[in-house]
Amino acid sequence: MREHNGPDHQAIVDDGRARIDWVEAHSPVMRGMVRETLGDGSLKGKRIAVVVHLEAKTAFLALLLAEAGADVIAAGSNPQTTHASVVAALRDKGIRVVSDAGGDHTSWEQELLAAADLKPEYIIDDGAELTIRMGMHRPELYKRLKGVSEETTTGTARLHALHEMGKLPFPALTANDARCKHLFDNRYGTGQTTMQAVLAMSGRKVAGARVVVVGYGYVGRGIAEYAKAMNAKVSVIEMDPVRALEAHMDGMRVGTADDVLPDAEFVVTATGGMRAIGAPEFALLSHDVILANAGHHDLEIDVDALGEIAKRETDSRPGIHTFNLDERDIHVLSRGALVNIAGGSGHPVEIMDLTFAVQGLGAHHLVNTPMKPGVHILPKAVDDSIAAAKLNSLGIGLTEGREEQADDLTEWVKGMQL
Amino acid sequence: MGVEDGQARIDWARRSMPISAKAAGQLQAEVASHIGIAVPLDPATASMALWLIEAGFKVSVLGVALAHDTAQGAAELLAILSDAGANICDSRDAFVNAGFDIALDDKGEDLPDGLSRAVVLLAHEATAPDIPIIHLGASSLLQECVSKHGQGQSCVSGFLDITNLQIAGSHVLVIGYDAAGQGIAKYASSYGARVIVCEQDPVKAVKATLDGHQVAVLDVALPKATVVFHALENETCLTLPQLELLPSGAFLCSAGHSQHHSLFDQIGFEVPGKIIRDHVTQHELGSGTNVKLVCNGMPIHSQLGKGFPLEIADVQIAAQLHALATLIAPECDLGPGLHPLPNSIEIELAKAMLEQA
Repeated sequence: MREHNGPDHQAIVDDGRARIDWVEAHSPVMRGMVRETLGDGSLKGKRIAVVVHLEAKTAFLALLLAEAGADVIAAGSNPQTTHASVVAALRDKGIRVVSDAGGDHTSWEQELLAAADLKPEYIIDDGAELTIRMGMHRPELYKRLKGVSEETTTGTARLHALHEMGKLPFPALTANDARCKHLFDNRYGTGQTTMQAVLAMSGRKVAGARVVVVGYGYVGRGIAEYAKAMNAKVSVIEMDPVRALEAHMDGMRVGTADDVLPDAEFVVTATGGMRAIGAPEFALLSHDVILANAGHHDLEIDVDALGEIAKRETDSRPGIHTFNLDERDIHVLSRGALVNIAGGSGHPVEIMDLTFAVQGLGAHHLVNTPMKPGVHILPKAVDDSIAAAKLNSLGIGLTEGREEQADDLTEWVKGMQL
Repeated sequence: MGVEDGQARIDWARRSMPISAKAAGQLQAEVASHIGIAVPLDPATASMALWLIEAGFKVSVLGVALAHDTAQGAAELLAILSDAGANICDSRDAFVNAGFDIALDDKGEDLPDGLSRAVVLLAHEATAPDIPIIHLGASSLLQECVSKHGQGQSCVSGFLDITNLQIAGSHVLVIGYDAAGQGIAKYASSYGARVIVCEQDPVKAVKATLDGHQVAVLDVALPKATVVFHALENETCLTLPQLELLPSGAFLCSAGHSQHHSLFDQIGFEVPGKIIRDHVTQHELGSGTNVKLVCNGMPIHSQLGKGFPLEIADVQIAAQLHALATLIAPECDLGPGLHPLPNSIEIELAKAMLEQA
């Protein structure tokens, strides 16, 4: 092992490397099929910015791209989630990392501009954070972008908005629309790790607990399912009648905020919007309720509004901020930031193996496929290949359909006398 | 933050401990009663010790070896107890010579001479003491709360916190289907695992199948298992050669009550193994495969600085305080020997839990 860094720094690099090795060991799709596909020579010399929560799983994606010959720039997508030893390990491998741990929103803005100034051709983005800043602050460089692959629901909405306003001069792939992303990452990944983070931070019991989930998209559904499986009494608040009906048939109690918030012990927001829990909802909450957010926006719980009506604020435990309102204490985890990332260690490695396979192959697709400016979806064949690779790594085979099993619709249509 | 952080942890725990707070409020110390406390130290048990001091008891605390906590966390809690007037004993020898006449003890082993009464969390059933001892381990309420749900939630969530992995779709092998094994199986299955149970007692094995788990013998189960939870209350049945049946890289974890004997010692690993992540050591096996030992084979819930979920700790501590009140009551007529938690206390605790539900 090289030890050119001096013993103190080398220990940090080694720690980061061990974390990345752990990810590689549990990422069969990335280290197999994705590594092989990326390594076909087409990425050589392509300058790709990877702007995702900068911890070990993202680092492994950055390393695979670099191994395939890409000129990789790494930046964090959130100032709170950049991991120091992982940054050290990436720099040790010669990757340009513009972010450092321990930053705030001001330093983070500067880091994103530094990433922009390194003139990436392609971006693997999270929340379209770098894409938007390049458009606003580096328009010339923005126009020269050749493609963006985007991770989240929120970022996808932003890219669609840019396209509709005629301000998207390059092709963008929405990784979030790939089934191998949203079916697993949003639902199982966020569901599992949100419950883990809430329980680990609060030290509370889940069996029998009254848990309210606000929003029943893939994320909310995942949280509700894991909580229910652990014997919590789960209630759901949802505006969309179809999703509300789905929650009802999944065995959740469905109701309005007035119905379900007063006896809630835990409230988890997953709407993808803003102020799901705001002033009107605070009035309904009971003493000692714990609020946590699992959506992209830090503003799903209106922490500022809560601060305005609070008599007193204290840090009760690491990551638990308590607002005292007369007779009631209301506890907010991670100050309303994404609780599974800000208060936990993020999605499970196996989930990010799928998500980053979508992102890595998305970047490869952008490089190799002529596409018009606009928002595109990863081809189904690529999506399918990721699931197939994962199943293959598990030794799970699939039954192939026989011709006579297909619907004979074509024959019917031929027979129609129209 | 120092001591303040320990105090903040105690304050946070007390928010979820209404049942034991009420029990503590009803306690009155006998004149000159001296209690020796040797239970795993965490914010909830520290809180119990403080309540006992407030109630007028003299308290000695065993400050080593039983920590649920990290070293610094335990030191902070001990500092708070010391400031409150507790006598902190830094060795088992010092503890047994501290001169207390009532013990609140984890296992009930090596109790000092001169004791008049004791409350023990989990005693060996063969124990034949010459003083009255209330044994909480036999309580069906505590088995359901502490052994099953407390350990199940803490150990399985703890494993996922340590590894940052999924168990959805994986085969998780649970060895032993007493309350701890039932809890591990329940929570593993909640996180999406396909649970296989190994259990020698046919009646418990039937319960496992009715709970929806696959039941198999070790030789069949081991080759499939990517995670093994050892939940036997007694010595392990696992041997080093058996571990070679596991898929290479499988995780081996401990749950249950074996505070003092790690799987590492019981299985007889010859070398310490390589630390590859916090709380994970990798051991190479003779066949060229390896196994990853979690928390060095100690029960996961006891190693992460958290203890049990607070509401679970609440009922367990309330039971200890009620048992203590029973023993020191003037009308107490319990003779020498192990006694179960009186049924009337179990009912009172259960009703108090239902009020919170």
